[in-house]
Amino acid sequence: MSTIRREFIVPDDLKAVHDRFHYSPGVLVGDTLYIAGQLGRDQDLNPIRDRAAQFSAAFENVGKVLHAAGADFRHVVELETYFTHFQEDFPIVLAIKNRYFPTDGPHWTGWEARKLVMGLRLEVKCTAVLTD
Amino acid sequence: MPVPKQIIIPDQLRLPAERFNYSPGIKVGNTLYMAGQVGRDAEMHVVEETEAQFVQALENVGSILKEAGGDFSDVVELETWFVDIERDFPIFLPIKDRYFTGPHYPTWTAFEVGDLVMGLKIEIKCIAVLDG
Repeated sequence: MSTIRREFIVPDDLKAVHDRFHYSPGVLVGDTLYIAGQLGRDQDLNPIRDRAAQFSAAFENVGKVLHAAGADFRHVVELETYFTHFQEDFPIVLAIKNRYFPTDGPHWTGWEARKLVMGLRLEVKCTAVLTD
Repeated sequence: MPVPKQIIIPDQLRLPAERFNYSPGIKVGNTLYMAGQVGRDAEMHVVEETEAQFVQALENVGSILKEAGGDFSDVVELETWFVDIERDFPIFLPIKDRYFTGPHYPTWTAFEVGDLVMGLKIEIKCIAVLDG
């Protein structure tokens, strides 16, 4: 019987989603950090309308979960991006992604979803492994 | 050292597993990967009514967890794929709370897709990590 270390990661800035929708922004199990899909909302859960700002905020929220778990973007092994307007938004997201993953990035899968909550245009989902 | 792998097929999901040749669950080490579950009963009949369909999908997830020796508190990642997220998200939320009772919750990622098999309204995909 092994008891695996399990830590529920709720950064202060994402506490509102935990309290309202009952999910954890991150769950750390052993060395693997599962991160909920992140959206470009502010602390009060209002969608950010400016596209580039919205997309950056989604990545920033991923960063908040990583940091709260003692990790950073270098630990991300899997990146998924769900677009509502793939053709239109891909070039903008690519440039933003490259700021967070400048080199040796994770594997990346992207596709177009028909809709996201609150009319948002991008969801960013990552899984990280906390290596030394 | 090879990691033990176990195919998980609960009785109530035997029919789709055999018809479509896939595993409802695969447990590798402590991690249980589960196929996306939908609101069909053991005879693969669609449960039409929305709430009952969502319950059936979650019951199917539960049957895999149980067969593997776990329960909903072991789930670390939850994904829900809706075909009408604006209409069905508020319906799903209180049903989810009956299965994920807290105080600790998995991560959650939700989005809308264009269509699912057999006109179903939700697909629920989970990963769990089981102790022992």
